[in-house]
Amino acid sequence: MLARHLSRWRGEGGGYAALVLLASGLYLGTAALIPGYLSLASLRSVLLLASLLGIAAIGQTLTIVLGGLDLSIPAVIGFAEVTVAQLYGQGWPFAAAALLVLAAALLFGAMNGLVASGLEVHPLIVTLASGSILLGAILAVTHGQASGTVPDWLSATVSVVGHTGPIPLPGAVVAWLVAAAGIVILEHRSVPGRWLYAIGANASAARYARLPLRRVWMLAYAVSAGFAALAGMLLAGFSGAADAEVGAPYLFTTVAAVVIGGTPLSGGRGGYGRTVLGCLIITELTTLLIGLGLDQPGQEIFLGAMIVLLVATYGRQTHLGLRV
Amino acid sequence: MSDLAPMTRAPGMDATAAAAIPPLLEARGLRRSFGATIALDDVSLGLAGGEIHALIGENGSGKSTLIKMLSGIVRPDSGEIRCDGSPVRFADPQAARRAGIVTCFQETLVLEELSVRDNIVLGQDGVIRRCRGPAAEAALARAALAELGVAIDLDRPLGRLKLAQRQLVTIARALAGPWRLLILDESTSALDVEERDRLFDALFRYRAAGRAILFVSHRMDEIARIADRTTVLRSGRSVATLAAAQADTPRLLALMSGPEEARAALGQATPSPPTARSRGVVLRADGIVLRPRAAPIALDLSAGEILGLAGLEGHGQERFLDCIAGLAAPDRGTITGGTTRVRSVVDAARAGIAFLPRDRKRDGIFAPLSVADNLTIARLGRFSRAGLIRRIRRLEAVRTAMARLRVRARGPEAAIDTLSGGNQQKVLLGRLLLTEPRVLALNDPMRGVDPGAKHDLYDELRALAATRIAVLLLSTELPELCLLCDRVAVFRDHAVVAVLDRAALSEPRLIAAMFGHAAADDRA
Repeated sequence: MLARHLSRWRGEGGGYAALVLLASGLYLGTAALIPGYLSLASLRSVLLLASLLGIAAIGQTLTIVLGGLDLSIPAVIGFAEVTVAQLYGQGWPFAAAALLVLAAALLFGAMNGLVASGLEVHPLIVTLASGSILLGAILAVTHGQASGTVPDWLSATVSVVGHTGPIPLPGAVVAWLVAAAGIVILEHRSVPGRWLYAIGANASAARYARLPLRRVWMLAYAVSAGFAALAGMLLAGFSGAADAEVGAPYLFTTVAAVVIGGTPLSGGRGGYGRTVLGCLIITELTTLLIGLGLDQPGQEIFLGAMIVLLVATYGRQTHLGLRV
Repeated sequence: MSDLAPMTRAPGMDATAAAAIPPLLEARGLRRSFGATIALDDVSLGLAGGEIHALIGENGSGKSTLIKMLSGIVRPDSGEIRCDGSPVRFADPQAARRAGIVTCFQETLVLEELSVRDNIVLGQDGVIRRCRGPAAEAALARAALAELGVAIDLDRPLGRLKLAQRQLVTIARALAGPWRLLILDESTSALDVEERDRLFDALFRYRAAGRAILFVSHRMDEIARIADRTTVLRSGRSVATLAAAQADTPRLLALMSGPEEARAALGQATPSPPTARSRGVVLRADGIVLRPRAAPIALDLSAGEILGLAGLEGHGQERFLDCIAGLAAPDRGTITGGTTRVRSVVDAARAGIAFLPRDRKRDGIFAPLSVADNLTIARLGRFSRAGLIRRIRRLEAVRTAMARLRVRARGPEAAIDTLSGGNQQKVLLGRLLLTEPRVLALNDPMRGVDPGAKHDLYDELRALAATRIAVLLLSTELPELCLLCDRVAVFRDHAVVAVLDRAALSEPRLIAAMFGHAAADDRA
């Protein structure tokens, strides 16, 4: 059964096994280099960091499968983090603040999808522009001096030592794993999921088959912004201080996680299951670099270089396989 | 063949001496497998200078692999290729090209954004160094197109051209350089009669000049017309090479396939029974003017009728079909499907009009997705509850459709691009049928489809007509129109110049009408 499933996934682009090997190999390799790494605590911290990236990368995966890209994810993360902290700090009930943020994000995402598909502007430009507008708006309102607080339980959700009921993992990780399972199932079994792949595979054929292209674009970008907002709210609990720029690193890492997973930028193939592994690999790489004592600039330089290297070796192999 | 003696052969040379000259290219015992699949089992073939050599076989018989081998793309597991008598090994396509072998592949491989000129000179330059200036490139491109008797604006991007013109450009690309052996793989599939004739004239000139042509085609009439010899492939083996005199169509069909397919492809299958026209009009085109100053078109389509659309490429039949499908709007006139006025794609869907685009790869299939997805994608709602697909129900429907349409695939989960062209087309027809159409508007559905699959599709279209579905069949293959249609509307200059009834239907009449020689009494 499992073998059959794996072989079907392989049809969507290269060996899953190679990814799993890479992810576990990196972990064990790091453990060999850094004493004390092979512990539950470090595993939990890797999972926690990966979960934040993973939640932010859901939308990146879906929009890339659709044949697009979402570069507004960092802005939405920043927006959600600042807004939820500020509103809660002003005395709003947390649920109300969170719902407001989520609704705003969904609307924002749907607009992205509408503009990109309806006006036929490349999503790269649309989302870069809308992200810039959103970030600008936050800075205009907060004058760059956002403040606020989050409830303690939210901080516990993203605490390395957090528990979720009997599960010895912080809430963010559990939420991620549940969301990941849901997304993978929806990709394969839901009607919009199959439309997503079909449109990404051949937009022209999708038009002839009368698929609802615009609705699918709006849905994918709305979901993308929604999960980016969720990641932003979790980050509010993580960092405490509100900063609109908190999402900045996620521009590169979400795209990298998707590509390392083997989902090609040309659309119609791949999927979120691969991105999950891509997120683990990126987080492990970062951890390795920190463990080796690199400072922030050094980490960024090496991470960038290693991701290109990875995609050039592993990623290209899949792409060649996909092309035939 | 004596009047077409190639220059490489001295005049007056007797047969034994001629045989002593090694053929230009010779393949012996070629064999190649891909994993468990044996693509080529044992193929031998000799190509002499000054001959047009046809290669036929069903899809999956190994034609593509053989062509790829001769072009240096695929290497044989065993067997050898000899060039002028000495064994060669082509390391890459460039090596084959250096040996004088140029290939024009079935799929029109073009860069849509680039101009006609750039597409023709493609592959001749280095990465940085251009071999020649823009003026010389233009001259080369123009000369190559002139060989085929066409003039296309060299600066137009390829994406703007019609399929037939793209096909001509890919042929011109093969011609734009020194060559001795030209391999044409289904290169006439998109061409109209006139364009094809000009291509054949060019081939005859090359033959007279002592060059060789390997001509792969599914069209028996073309093979009968131009081939000096014909090699038949079946299941990866070369089963026979026949001289033109022996290569009559029934014999070729018998060699390449089972008797059932031979009968169908030959056109001896039971002709459609004449349909009663009183069954009720399901589609009415009234006063359609396709372009300014063209005569208006009035056509009715009855339930259960198969109406053919014929014409030389670009004479309006394709645009007419687009109008029916709501993809284009006529200058004037109305299209009514049932009670719905068709002005848009949405109207067409409401009127139960299902459209099959011509370019299967570009507008039809969702390439990496499964057969099941490709079949059901337009009607997933039928197999789902609350947005979730009910797998078992869908699988049953897919299996039923695959069995009915005789789709040959590993299974419902097989990727659509692993299927042959004919089987892909069956899946696309299945997709349309799931929408429960009243009218099928098909744009050249048999293009590049092997005879076996064609037979299945013919049967299916007849069966559909019997269930009162009306079919609009645009086809470039005249025998097919004669075989299937109750009536054929012939287009010329964006108007219908003749409507031929079943009783009046014949290839010569169709051709006469297409070329504007329709007798007035042919009008229905």
